[in-house]
Amino acid sequence: MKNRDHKEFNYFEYWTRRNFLKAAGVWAGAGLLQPLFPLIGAGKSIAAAYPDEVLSIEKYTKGRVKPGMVISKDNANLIKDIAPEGLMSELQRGGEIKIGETTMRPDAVNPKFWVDATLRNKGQAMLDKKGQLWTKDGKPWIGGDPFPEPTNALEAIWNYTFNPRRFDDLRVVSKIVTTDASGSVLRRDGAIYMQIQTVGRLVVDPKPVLPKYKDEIHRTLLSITYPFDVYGLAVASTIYYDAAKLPDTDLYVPNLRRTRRVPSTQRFEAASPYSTYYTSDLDLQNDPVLTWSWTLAGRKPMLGPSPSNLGARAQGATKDDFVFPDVDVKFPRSTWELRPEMLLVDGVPHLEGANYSKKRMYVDGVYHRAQMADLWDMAGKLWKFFVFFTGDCGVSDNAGGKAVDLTGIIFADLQRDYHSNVQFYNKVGDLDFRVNAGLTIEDWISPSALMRRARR
Amino acid sequence: MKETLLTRRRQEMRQAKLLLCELLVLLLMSAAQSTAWAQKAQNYTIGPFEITGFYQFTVDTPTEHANPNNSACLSFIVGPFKCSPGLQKKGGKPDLLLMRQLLDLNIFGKFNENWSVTFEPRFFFDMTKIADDHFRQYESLPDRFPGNGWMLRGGGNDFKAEMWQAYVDYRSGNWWVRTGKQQIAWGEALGLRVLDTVNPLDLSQNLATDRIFEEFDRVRVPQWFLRADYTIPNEAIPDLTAEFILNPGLVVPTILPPQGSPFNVVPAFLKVRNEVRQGEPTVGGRITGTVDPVQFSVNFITKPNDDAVGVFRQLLPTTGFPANCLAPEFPPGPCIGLNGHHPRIYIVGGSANYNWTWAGAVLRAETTVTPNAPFQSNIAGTPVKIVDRPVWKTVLAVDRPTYIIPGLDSMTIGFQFFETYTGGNKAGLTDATGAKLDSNVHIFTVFFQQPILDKRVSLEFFGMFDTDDAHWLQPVVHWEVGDHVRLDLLYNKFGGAEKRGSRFGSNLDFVNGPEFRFTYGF
Repeated sequence: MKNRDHKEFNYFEYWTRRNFLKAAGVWAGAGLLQPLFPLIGAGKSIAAAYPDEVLSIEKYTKGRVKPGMVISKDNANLIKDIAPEGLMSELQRGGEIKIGETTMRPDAVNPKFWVDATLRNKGQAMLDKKGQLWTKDGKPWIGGDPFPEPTNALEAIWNYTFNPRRFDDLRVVSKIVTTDASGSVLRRDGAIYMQIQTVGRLVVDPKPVLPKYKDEIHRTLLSITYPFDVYGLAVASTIYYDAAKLPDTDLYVPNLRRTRRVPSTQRFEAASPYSTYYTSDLDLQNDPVLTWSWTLAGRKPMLGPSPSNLGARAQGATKDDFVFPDVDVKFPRSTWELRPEMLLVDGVPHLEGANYSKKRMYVDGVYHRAQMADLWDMAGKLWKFFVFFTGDCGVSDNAGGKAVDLTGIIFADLQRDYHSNVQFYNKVGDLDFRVNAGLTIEDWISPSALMRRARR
Repeated sequence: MKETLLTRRRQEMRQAKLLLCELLVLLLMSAAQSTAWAQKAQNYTIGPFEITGFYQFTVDTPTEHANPNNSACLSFIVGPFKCSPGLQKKGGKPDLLLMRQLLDLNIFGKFNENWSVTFEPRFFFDMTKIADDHFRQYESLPDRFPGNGWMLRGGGNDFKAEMWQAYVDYRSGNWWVRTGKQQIAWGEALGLRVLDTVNPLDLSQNLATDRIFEEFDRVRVPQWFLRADYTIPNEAIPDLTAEFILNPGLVVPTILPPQGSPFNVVPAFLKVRNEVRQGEPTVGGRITGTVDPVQFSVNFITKPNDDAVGVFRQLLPTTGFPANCLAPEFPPGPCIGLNGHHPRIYIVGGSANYNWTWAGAVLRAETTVTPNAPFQSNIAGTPVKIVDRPVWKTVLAVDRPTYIIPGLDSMTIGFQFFETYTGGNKAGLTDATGAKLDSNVHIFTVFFQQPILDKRVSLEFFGMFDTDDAHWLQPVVHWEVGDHVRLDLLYNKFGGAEKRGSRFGSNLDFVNGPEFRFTYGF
């Protein structure tokens, strides 16, 4: 058998599933390749859907890269064709990753109820001529990935951004450490983040929509717990279902002792001193979908973060462990694996003040979830690289499974060589991580709730 | 010789006190730095209590001249005249307006999802009169009025400790009840007291001339209130909430700087006796909600007037009262004794904001009507009684972040227009400061905030312009150094031809000058 060069595995050129199936001449039951979706429905692994070559990094790289291998600047060239540009830049400046086996479970970074809803609601989603997501009977989307087999960038991006965290509600507790080029800690921030989905709800009643908030997609709350001078500052955002409309923002400002509505146009500015991320960057893509334009730049096997990166939840982990450990270093180590199909979705912002010329979201073709992105400045020079590690958080998702959510974030400013590394915890002080817990907008994310919950 | 020794001894004592203060600062800083919690972005906790706070050192210096209020004398022959050094020990411009250390703690205890408590003790050490020999002894942060025990403030002339806030929160379903010593702030306007009049202000340290971005947080006096909020379930108006507030009558008036202090605003020839009547309740409430895209509030409150409205009591010295208003060693002279009354007032009003998405701006409006605002009625320049007049206050404002400087973050720009209309016959009437009334007073304020250097440094400018030619300008540089240190350098500049006491004009130019603050937070 002829040995193919790994470049042949570019999905646009050869390996799109459709083309592969066409080439094989069968749809199912051949034992070699099948459409992915029925396999997921049958509770099987993804192994049957993809050729072996894209499920094993060892085969894919003809033995040059193997699971267990540590990649650093010394051997980064081995992965340059399957790594995002930002990851390459990180490795060349001192980052280290370990290569893991490809995860075969289709629900490794999505909760089971979400996967079930994707199966259940298949075929019911449509985009109108503006690109707005609806059900076929013109209602807000009802949950799960709307487009299980995305054919264009907009479908891929809707799959992720409709509910990036997948839960009906969640509250996470995080700490952020920002380091400079030398690795010195510049600033620490602490925050509580909450999200309450108002449509497409799958677990917590009322489902699938909160009737009072049917014109919204979700509300978020960012409440700062550290450092001292912003302690108690809370930012409540109302994100509308109309994906061309900017959110509403209400603040609780401890100094003012009251809430204050503010414009939500400051989306491309550092969230705090030294930090490397903007409001626009939260959840990788925090601006409404239709305020950016999207194109599909490619589909191909690529490295993606492994769900084994548990961050602060990895008990006993040290800085030597490749689990994105909770340590104050510039490059916490992490594990990466070959993903058989990655959609390269390029976005261009159309908002005042936008200082990115392009963002490339890497949307996993199995999970339909983006976990990393490259960003370019207005001069077209690579500027930032973000990684959103996702894994089993070890607590119940209140739907019969384990909560699968963010376990760490890297916001890397490659031009300044600054990093804002985010760790998540199951409990800090009196605050715990919880999902599908029945959190309500009236209780948490409204102007009066901001007053009630104010800690200063 | 004896005097020289005495002077030297005083200087040594002053130096020793300053050294002690500096050591205290170093001790606090090293203690905070040595604890693990300060390094881990986690606040210090003891059981259910979380402790945060800050230490702050402030130096405020004047650049213009001595406070004329401290040397404003009265003569039976020539009338008002300047009698330097008056209430100061030494004439001329003082070296300092304020040199102060402040430790502010916030202790938050959460017992469960329903119950929590908050305590905010504050400790002041005012070193102004230790470091600057222009001043006689005066009481810093005074609270001399009947019923002052409820302020929970104590100490000597230089050091004061107080329980600034202490309250219990109860939350359950649609209910939120906060009981205790607390600040309550209403309204949309910033830095303008229109709806934000529930609590009085403590102006005794430096009026309200600190960094304007912090508004009245450090000077809005927390009072004992029951505050109950109920969010009314309904389908039409999201977040419709009714609020009821009640202070059973533990009254605190506006607290002014003591006479003789750098910020004194009461002429030396006046002695005002604060006739605060405890037992007079403050009762109010408001309805808030959202009718998209407008957020609104409708407010009502009745309370004793914060500011003392003076009425002539007696001319001093009198028989059996040989002292004048000035220091004992100063030549005798007349002074006027006033009774400061706090008549009950009623305020109704409302506010609204509108998210103007097309313009990327938020529009704000706020208005109140006080049908019985109290004023002094004067005969021959002497306030003899209090009369009521209706007062209508209105603020219109717009906030819009705007990209001004290429490559930098947007500049936050705020603009406010403030009108005060006083109705009825105003002949012979003056306000609480003794200033003649105008039918209309128009004020514009602007606020700019430009972050630079990765948001580590913030350049701010606040300007208040009274159309009767008065202005207050405050440029600020705010620098965030790491997690714990904040530095502020600001300059206050009051000026203009308008000199009336209730306006922000050249009547306040004695506080013109730079202020520096070092803050260490934890």
